[in-house]
Amino acid sequence: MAPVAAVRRTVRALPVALVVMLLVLPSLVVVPMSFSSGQILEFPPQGFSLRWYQAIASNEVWIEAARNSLAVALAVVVLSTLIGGPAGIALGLWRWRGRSLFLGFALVPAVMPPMVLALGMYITYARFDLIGYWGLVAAHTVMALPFVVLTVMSSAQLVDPTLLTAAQSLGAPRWRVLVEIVLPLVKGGLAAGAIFAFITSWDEVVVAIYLTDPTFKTLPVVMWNQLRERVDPNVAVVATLLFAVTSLVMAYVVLKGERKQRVQ
Amino acid sequence: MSSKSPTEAVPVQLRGVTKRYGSETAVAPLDLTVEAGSFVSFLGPSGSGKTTTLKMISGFERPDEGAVLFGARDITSLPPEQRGVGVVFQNYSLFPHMSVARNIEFPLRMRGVDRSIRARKVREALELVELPHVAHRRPHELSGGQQQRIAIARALVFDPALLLMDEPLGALDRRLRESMQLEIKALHERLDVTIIYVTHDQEEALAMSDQIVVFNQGRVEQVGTPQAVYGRPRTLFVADFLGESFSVSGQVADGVFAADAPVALRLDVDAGVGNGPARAIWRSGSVTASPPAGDGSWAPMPTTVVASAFAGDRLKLKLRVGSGTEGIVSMGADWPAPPPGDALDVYVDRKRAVVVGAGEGAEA
Repeated sequence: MAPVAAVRRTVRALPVALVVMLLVLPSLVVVPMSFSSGQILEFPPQGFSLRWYQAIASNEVWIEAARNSLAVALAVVVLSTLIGGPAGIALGLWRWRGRSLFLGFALVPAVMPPMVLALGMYITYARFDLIGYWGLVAAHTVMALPFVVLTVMSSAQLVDPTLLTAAQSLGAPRWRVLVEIVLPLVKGGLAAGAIFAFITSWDEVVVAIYLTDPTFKTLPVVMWNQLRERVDPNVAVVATLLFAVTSLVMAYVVLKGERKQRVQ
Repeated sequence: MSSKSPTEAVPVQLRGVTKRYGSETAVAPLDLTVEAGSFVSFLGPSGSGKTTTLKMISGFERPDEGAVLFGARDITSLPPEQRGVGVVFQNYSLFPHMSVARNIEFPLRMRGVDRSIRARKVREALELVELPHVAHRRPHELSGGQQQRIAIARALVFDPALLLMDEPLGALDRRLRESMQLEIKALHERLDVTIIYVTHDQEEALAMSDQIVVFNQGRVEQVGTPQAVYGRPRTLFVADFLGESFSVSGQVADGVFAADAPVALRLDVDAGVGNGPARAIWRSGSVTASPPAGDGSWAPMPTTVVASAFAGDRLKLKLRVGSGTEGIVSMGADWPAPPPGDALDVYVDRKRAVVVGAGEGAEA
């Protein structure tokens, strides 16, 4: 029996091992590379220093790009939550005519190839002079919406509809039912949706390449440009920082989810 | 919360209230008056219209025709949140994200009641349901019975004139249900509030109510005291739904019921039962295998035992009479249960026979 169990364990561990080897490790090589003391981007890195971190910290281009990325991502969080939150609540709480169709449309941006989205948006937005900050915010909001809609919808589906009836019978008009009962109960879904929206915008490059211009660039776009021009460890530093921010956010989500499961 | 509450119990009146879903009639034109301060049960099987009627009183359904009145006030088109009616639901419906105290406070906050008054009212409500120590717990930390008591406290804290309860004990086990029935009844006696209580459990309705409204297929079959609907059912449906009964078929002609052959039995009938097919019905207490000596009102009735079951203090017998009707009666368990197929002569009390028409619409 024991060998069989061991084999089974190995087989089960295999996909995890593959994911780590093929996905995580290659991304992680940038971390040691960012601490290189050499002139070019290489692995294994030459020596150890923080010189490239210092270079980034004093480089206006990167600072500016980081500020732009953050400004776009935060606006995307606000807009996609304001639009996707109510949509998710409506989809999760009630059955209505056209509900499935609406849900289908809301999820389109998630299944569209980014290149197609990018090209279409570029052509359309350019006509309305929407290239730059607001254009990118609009595009990323559309791309982030499916995540917000889905997470809010799934938490709204867990709300017992008689709670709303009960609140109404106790004297709450509809808007107060929404504020006092529905919103607190879908809070978790809204928070998760907001975080997904942030990440969606924060590291998005394809659409950003099209919708930014020389006066307005986000971090992934600057990285892309730099990689094409010269290969120095600057990019590794930025990649490491991006990776750190995203991982921290994801770790927060995962840990919070775990704790919630344990409570229930 | 006390009997000196600012809101007086109100009578509820339904005038020709009708509700249809598509071509389906959920509630046929219904006229009903619920006296102020009384405890009235809506009793009936599922789909009989009792819950729909309750929803039209609470405001969650609009009647297609007719009017709903609280006292002299027509509230037919008033939205539920403005009716000031307390509602208790089967699944408690406590808000999971609020503490028990916040739950009870909710209707007071919705009414803009001052904070200090709210705190006092919440305390009083918790004392009323004898759970003063759970104020800071979350609903999920309480047992089902406790949750339902909190739901009742929440529905009463704003002194509603009317309390609606929709199968409130349906999710509790039998023993808890019985003790909660007594508690709810005791609450009703202490408070000046009209209670309308929906249930499909006839024992519950019999035990708790001042009046029972028996629903069947969107219509009211009978309204009366528990004693009346149990002891003097007006239709076969009411007789069957309210408990064990034993009946024989026959014909009414000119005020006399004559049982179908081979049963030889004639009974005088009240006015109100028309000529035609009818049934004579007896409850368990008026059927026995050994009648008291010297009482001339007991008539013999030959039957065949279909099945028998021992039920502790009683023996439950399913009996068939010669003319074909079957019925279930309970008798004292001080004799051995007869095996199925045996002939058994029982005696029925002529004085306590209830004769109902068995023509169209009377069959359940």
